[in-house]
Amino acid sequence: MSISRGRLLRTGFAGGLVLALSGCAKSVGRPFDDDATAYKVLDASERTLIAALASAFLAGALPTANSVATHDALVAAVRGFDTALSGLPPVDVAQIRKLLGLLDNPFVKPLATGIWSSWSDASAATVAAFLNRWRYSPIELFRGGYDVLHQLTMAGWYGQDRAWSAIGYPGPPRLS
Amino acid sequence: MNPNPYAAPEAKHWKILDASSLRQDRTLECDVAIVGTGAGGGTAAEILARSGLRVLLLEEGPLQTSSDFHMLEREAYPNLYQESAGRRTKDEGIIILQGRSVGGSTTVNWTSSFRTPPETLAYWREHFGLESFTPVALAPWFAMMERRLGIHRWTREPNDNNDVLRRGAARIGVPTKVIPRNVRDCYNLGYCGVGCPTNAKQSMLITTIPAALGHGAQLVSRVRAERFVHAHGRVTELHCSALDAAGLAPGPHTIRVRARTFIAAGGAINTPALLIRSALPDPHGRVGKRTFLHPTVISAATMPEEVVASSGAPQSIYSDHFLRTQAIDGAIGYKLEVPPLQPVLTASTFTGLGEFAAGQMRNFNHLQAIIALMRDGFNEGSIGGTVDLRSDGTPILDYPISQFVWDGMRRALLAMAEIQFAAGARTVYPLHESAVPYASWAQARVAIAQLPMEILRTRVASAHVMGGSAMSKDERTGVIDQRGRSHALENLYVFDGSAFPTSLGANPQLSIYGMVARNASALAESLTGRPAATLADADNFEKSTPNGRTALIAESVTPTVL
Repeated sequence: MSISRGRLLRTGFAGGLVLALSGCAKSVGRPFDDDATAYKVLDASERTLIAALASAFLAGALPTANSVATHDALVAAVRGFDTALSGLPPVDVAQIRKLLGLLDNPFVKPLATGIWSSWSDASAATVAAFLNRWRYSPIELFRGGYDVLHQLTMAGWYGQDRAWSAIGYPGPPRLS
Repeated sequence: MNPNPYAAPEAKHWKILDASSLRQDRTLECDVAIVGTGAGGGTAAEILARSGLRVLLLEEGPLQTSSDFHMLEREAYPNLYQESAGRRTKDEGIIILQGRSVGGSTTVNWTSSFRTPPETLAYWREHFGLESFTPVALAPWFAMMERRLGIHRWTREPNDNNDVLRRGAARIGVPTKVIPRNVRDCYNLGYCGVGCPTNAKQSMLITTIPAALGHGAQLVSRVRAERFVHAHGRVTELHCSALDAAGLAPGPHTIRVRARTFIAAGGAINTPALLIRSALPDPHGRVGKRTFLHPTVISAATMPEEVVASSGAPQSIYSDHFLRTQAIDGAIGYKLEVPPLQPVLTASTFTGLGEFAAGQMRNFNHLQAIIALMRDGFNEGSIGGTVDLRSDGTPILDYPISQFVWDGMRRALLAMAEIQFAAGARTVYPLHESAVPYASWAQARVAIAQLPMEILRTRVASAHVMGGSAMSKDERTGVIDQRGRSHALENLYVFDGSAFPTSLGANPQLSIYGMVARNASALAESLTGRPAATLADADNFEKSTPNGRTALIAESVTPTVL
């Protein structure tokens, strides 16, 4: 029997678990640093989580010339995710934030992701391994979660001009 | 570049309201209230307004025009699409592209314009009693809308993305044809999907809706139709929410609409949801059932030469070969077309992550893709999906993919790979999480035969939502009759793609235009007691309407109503 993310989050045990455990300490670690006023949806801990996911999703796409360029691009990717998320209907935003909450819950996270460190300490390879487990999971719930995160991360990055030179896309034609 | 009608001087006298700017509740009155401004609502609006009726158009999305269209996906998806182009089925397995702005999906579609296939109409006559849906009876209505919207076979060379389909198919003996498009003075840019910046695409946004506004119709944007209030077999009122400034959630104010006649034209998924919220009498449980998607699988190729699939008319070549290799109610058939590849659409649809995904994207200008659209709804193995409501009253479609449909998808992935290799592809990559780019047809054939066909492994998308408020002569098998009138409420009509009792086997817009042109004309006649106005082509309008006043053009073939 397959369980969809939506159904589980709406009615299942995991949603209840999150509620029961809310208020417990969040994972510690060096938070992802960016201007909070630039975000419509994501809070500080969600930004740290998305930065870790984006580093893995976009490995090979984000510039690596120097650490400043890498950090700037990562900031842009996280902001792009926030922009993509903010365009969804409120009911979807709430559901996806529940998923992010699960991923950031110190009791659920190790079981669901296999990652014991904080998101900010997790290596891109570790995060990619977790994403691939969800991607190929026999459980629809995990595959759906993976795919939603994939779509928002890719849309958030490749919608920006800065992503285009690496792929040879010249941008929209000029109309004279 | 064609003019933006909303910037023209006469537009200053048009009655247009952005509901998110309301400071108080409003009540609006009219003869006919139309929920939705896409292919159905737009066509109905022009016919009814030209026929002398007071028309009110209600649109949940914003009014955006060519001056807002910058060919940027990051702007277009949140502004012009349902759920930011991220609408999904209940199990997340299918991504649905559907429009949500003035003009509906016609503002963002890829312009492919096909008359309803005769074999589809034959199925409807046989199984749903739709005797009036014959090719001969519909021909003058299709012809009228083709003239009105400049629909003609594309005469320029296809772009290389389309040409791969043409070349590869020809080499393995699969015939292809050129697609008719609803464009005038097209710049061949390739950005139809993010709003045409040159007003070449003859969408409802720049054709029927401005014409209706010129004939006194009123347009309200960023308003959500919540429910029809009904009593004694008639709709008495429509309750709406004015949306907030972001246009995503209801704001503090409401709009009540009073009208003689109400038309639901919000498109499949949204129209059935409105009927469910309205508690439409539905003794046989038909509302929202049999919603179809043309569920679509995708095969990507890397070509040795540059393709630049982001540029040029997105769809100009198609093949119906695999719709015709078996009976319509046999193993599921599919239509082959190609999609435009712009960065966001490509990166979010392609599978995989990290270096693999980055490498695919570095190939961007060499990428080519073919899509196969499954013709769902003609067999017991393909009964479509069901519209339901979420906690906030917004719709969700539950569409389980049956083994019958998966079988067609696997055959389609094989056929597309064979075509791409025949056209010289270096590698072919079926969009599936367990696939890799294959270097030969022999290798791809073995691998595709073994791919697990399951949701969230196989990439499945849809840009055509149909059904859910189906036409049927018999109220036990449908929601409306063949003139579009509700079986339950006598002054309620459904004029959109939700009316189709199966999928079409073709891109839907012209099927909606033709059906609605006939049904709206019949409605206009019944409401006014006079023949309905006939729509002519845009050039004739300009010549004969020097003052923006009504001038009806005699048609060489005058369509007759039912």
